[in-house]
Amino acid sequence: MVEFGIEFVPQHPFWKTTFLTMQAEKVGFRYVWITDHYNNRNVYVSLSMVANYTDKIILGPGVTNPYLSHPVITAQAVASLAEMAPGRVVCGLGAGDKTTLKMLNVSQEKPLAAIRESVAVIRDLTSGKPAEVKGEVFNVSGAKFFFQVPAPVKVFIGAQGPNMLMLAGEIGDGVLINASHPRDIENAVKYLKDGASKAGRAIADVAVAAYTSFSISTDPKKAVKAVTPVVAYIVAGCPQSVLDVHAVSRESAAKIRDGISRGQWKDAFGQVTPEMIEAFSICGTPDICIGKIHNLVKLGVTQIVVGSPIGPNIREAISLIGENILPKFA
Amino acid sequence: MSYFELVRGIPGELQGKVADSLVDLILDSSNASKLSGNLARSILRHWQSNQLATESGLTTLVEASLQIEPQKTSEAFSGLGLSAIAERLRVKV
Repeated sequence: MVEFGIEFVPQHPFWKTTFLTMQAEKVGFRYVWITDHYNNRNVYVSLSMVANYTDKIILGPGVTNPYLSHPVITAQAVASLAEMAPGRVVCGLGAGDKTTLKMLNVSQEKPLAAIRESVAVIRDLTSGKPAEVKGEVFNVSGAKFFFQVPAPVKVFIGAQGPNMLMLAGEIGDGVLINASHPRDIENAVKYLKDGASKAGRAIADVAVAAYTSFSISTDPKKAVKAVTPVVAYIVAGCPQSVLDVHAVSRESAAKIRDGISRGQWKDAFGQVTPEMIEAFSICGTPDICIGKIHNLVKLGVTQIVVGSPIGPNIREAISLIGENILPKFA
Repeated sequence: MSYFELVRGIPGELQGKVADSLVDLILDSSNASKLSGNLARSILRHWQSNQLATESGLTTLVEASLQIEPQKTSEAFSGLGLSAIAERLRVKV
């Protein structure tokens, strides 16, 4: 059975993110992931407000990174959250966005080691044990909490490249794959299986979440219009290896990147083609979205994360998903 | 006239539609960040217990929407055929 998660970017007032999460919980979403960017509202303040107004939905940062937040601080944050919402907290952890890190003069050194070591720290501390990690990036010796954590917090690793996917298969409780297209998911699952088998695990031991860019509307044109800026940013930030899979040329991506960097949104978004939208989003009417979700589920996806923009009108989109999509996968 | 008295003038069969329309107005408002913390929490509490379409919930929604979108609040009531309430709101604004 596939579960559904929803992503919110805390660019709106806290009460609005909370309101929409409550709506998502009411219609049957199982997870809410809140993004962690220094230039939006703080992820843990957002999550604690959400925790206070919800009862069932599982919540967590989607995703935080160990470069801007040391893993002991992340562990402390999710453990504190777990006290507010026992059994409902997960931690999404990735290597961070290079552009943002560069802007802050933080280098993304040894991302695989950083994630491996961070997972160990978070796991130890949220299991009530002192953290003992002598790694390449983090060196934590005997750090422990002076409070009880109700249960260990599961860690989902945000991954897109082969090595990070293998690591997620090896050590993650789950993986958040930044992809919306079956071809990317199929490739990702192969790497996950490799990583899992290296650790003597089965792929079934890893929750496989497709973290999609999603746009739903009864009017397909409106759905496309809403998702176009998001796809433009995805194409602009995507490694060429991923663009190659979808036959997106270096030149097309460069034009979009250039438009974005100059703040010429119309130019940038105007370069987004229907093929790019097909490759990098789940977009359309409920029936179209159902078909696309089925294709991902067949490949082994156990959670569909409905990510930005969700739809031209978020409240309406959540209702559409609740009425038309969730019942098909119950 | 208080907000509560004003809300009591909404026919029972339209309470759901009014709540829905005001929620859209509040969520979509470009002034959403100007909503006071008290009203925001009151909306969330009513939403948590599915009470937004009650007289108490509607009172909160009317107060909130008037705070951030006074003109559009009155128009929303007109759009739902509640001209008398819309007129009272216009005077209040």
